[in-house]
Amino acid sequence: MMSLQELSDRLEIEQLIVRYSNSIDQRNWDGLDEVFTPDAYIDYRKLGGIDGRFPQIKAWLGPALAGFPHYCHMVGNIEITLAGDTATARTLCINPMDTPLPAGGSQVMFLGLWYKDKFIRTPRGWRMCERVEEACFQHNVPAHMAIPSA
Amino acid sequence: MTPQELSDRFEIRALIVRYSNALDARRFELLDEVFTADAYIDYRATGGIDGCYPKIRAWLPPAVNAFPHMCHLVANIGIALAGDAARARTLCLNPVEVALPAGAAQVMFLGMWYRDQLVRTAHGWRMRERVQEGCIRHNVPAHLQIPAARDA
Repeated sequence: MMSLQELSDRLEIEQLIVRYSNSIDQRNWDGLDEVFTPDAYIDYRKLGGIDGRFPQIKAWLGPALAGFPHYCHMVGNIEITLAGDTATARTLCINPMDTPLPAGGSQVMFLGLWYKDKFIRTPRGWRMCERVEEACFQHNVPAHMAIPSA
Repeated sequence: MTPQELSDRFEIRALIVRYSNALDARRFELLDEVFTADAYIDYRATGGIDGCYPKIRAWLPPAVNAFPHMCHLVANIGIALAGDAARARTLCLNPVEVALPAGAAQVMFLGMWYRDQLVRTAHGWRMRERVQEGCIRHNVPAHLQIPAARDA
């Protein structure tokens, strides 16, 4: 049987993963301060983004996502491995993105990816100290977009 | 809920996710930690086979490796506990990239439910039955044969 501590840790980490999606989808960049450690390493290169430390990524996100009128990051299949005050997780994300077309109008593309995360318990709760993307499927990507194939 | 029930529900949810992740990472050996040795599995609703776990375990790698990318997103996990046994119904949204005969690829979207029977073992909860029930099919390439979902 799982201890209450383990149940609590698992729920807190699940909530942290959801908080990331909700912060990104509401364009609440400051909300990410409660998700990542200040020196977290983030790697978005598998879907055409950049990699770097959290402050660099936080500054990059707003302008990078400003070109997409609507999007969401639906997460599921959260598989957590606890190891005391650290943890790792693998999470599936289905990411529909409304993408403006050069000739006008827009098109919704669907990206599938996994997040490979590392976590650390801090005095203020669990925080993500690493997030690396792994690409899965791509559907309905507009011809002018350059997304590396998985 | 008692701590025992909370724990059982967490473990069963983790088991259902472990199945998806093992399949999607193509780490078929991890399925040994999901199913009982004599589990019955029925994939016929999406064009697969049915049978006991060892037969399914041998069938899966070639069947799945024909698809360059896929994922099995599970949600709506409804669990009914009954002591050392349990039933679950889970919704799965399953995008699958299919290589086309003429080259290039196309992503089809399958929706299905898993109807599972679970049992508590000395190694934790395991699945002893998984039966697919078909739901939506979208953008299926013409050359693929997937049976139509039966009306409920």
